[in-house]
Amino acid sequence: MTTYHSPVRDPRDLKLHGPRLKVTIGPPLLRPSGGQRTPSLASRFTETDALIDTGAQRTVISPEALRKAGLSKINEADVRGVGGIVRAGVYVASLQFPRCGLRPIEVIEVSCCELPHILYHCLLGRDVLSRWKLTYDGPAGTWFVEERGGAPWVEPPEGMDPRDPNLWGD
Amino acid sequence: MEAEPSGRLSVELGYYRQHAPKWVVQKAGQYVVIKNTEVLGFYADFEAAYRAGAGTYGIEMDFLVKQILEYEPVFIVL
Repeated sequence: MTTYHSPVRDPRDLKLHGPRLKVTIGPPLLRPSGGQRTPSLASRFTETDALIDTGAQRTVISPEALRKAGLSKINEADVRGVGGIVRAGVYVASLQFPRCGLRPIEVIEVSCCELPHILYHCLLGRDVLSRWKLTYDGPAGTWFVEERGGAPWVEPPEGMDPRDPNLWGD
Repeated sequence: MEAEPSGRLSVELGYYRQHAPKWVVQKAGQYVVIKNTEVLGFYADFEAAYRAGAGTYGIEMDFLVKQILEYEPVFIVL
């Protein structure tokens, strides 16, 4: 079990801004055939603040985050927000959670819309939350996430394919 | 909330709309991968479909990965 505890802040901060988490948005964590990384992809992993949003059915990123990450488009979908329904692009991404110990999500669909707050460029929706147990302690101004499963994902040495079963043993 | 500009995947989405009535009967719930007007295949889940497309076209390329459904879902983001 991996647990990430939010920083202890003034409880009013959590009430005002909600539970926020650093996230690194980038292209999917897939290796091209031959096991070699594509150098041009490395610069496209961008760290930003994300809001954990239990009201979001699916994870959403801002157009600025999309531009920095240069994600491939895979679909379009209707997204209903407080301002009505918009037709949004759907892109394929990876999400990493630096300094949290939470496992990265190697491949995930994200929608792209203008977000209502300049503080964050990503809403982590219930597609991400379905992997975690989230505890929100309003009076204390803290929250924490528990993740079941194995050890946090570790980047293997260059040239090794993380999907190679011989790499991990039994 | 405002939409981002469209245009990418318009050929693939048009091709999907053209064939969706037939696929809904035969392949409902599956994911189809389309590049231009070529159907790469039908897959049981999103990740299998995306990995097949990325393996064929590369992860830098746009290609359509779409679940075949009778009604297009509306995703709620509040």
